[in-house]
Amino acid sequence: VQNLRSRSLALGTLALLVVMGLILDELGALAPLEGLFLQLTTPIQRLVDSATERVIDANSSLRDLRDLRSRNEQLESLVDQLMIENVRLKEAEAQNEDLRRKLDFRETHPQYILKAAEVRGRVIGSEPTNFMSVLIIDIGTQDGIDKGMPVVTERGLVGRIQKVGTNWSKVLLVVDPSSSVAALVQSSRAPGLVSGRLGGELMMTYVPQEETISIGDVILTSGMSGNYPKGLVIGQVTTVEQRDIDTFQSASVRPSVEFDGLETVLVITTFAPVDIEGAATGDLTTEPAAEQDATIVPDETATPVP
Amino acid sequence: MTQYIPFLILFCISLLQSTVMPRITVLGVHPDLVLIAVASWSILRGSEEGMLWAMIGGITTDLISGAPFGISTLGLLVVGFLSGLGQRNILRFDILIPILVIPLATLAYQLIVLAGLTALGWHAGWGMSFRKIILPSMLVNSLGMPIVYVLARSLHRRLGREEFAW
Repeated sequence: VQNLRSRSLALGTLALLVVMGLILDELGALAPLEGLFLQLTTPIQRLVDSATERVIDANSSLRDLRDLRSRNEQLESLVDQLMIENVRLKEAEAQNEDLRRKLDFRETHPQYILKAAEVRGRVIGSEPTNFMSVLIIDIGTQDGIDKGMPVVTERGLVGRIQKVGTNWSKVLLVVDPSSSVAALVQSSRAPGLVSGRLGGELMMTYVPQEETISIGDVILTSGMSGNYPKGLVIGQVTTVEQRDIDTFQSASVRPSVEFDGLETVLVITTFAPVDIEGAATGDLTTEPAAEQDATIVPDETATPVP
Repeated sequence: MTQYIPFLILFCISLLQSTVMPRITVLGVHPDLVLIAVASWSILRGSEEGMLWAMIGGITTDLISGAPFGISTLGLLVVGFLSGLGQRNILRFDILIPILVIPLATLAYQLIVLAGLTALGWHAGWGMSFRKIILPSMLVNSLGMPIVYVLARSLHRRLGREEFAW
């Protein structure tokens, strides 16, 4: 009973204190005490609050990071796809441009059937000896390619087929020292012989003294000697050597084709070369050139391959 | 089995010679990776292995090349044989030896090839060939030799002394 009495007393006291507190608070008497308390606890509260905020932020950041990472992965994947697409489109554009130029060439030379080939291994000057100038293309006998066929680009003469396999051919470039082409100056029609030199140069020799040849003149194949058709661009004259004591003039010729950057070439499959071996050694005196030329008749009835 | 790894490497070098080397032009010529590799291996392992390398490198090169078949192989065989002669173990790791050997190896190789080509009707003129091809090649191959030799030496050490027998 005493225990119950003391407990009731304690409850009543506490209730009284609460009521007094309410009254004092209403009267504003607790404000100084409240101020002192808050003054003491505010830094701690700030600390705790800040820590809590950080935890919440961290949690949120982690969530954001996961989202961002996922989003980043998506974007990176998209960028990759776009880059691949971009490269593909650029490649298609370049190929389109290249084919357009080749089509122009084909349309201006309707008498020839042309086979397009991709240069498989650019081996110009890459001979182990560094002596020869040859490249390999990815078409061969299965595509109707045969030894001696002329190889061109839209810019002009590249060379001729030297060796043929089922699906490959080696092209002896016009700049190889063993290559020689009967040529003429476009403006004056002066004849001569263009042969390759070491280092990718061309030299036009046997130009008669009485003929006119100047720097900048365009040199074309003449069709003489039978190893190339007539009218293909070989290059442009860069220097002329003319001495009165010589029987002939000579000139350096810059090839019109940029051999280092070749990607695709065209092979003229309707041209039947004559006396390849004789022409390859540059021996034009072995047979009358005019007679050989008579045999070079491009197939006029041939239609371009679409 | 590991003794066959060098041949695989040499095959790759031959392919590099026709694809990558044409893009590297110094003094108007391309470095001859196959020749340098054959000379290096021959110095390190002797003439026997050098000539085996020369056979493989030469045949691969001849297949890719527009020159008549066999000319490069013949030239490289001579290089493989000569480079491996008189080399003692103590000298094999001296970087000066290959630098001195490679210009002579290049000269021998180019002369053999030029003689072969000339004999078969290809004519660019000996004087012009010396000036434009042979002399620049001797210099360019000498510049490339230390890099290839160091790599070959590393491979030689990894493989140990298990030499290939014919």
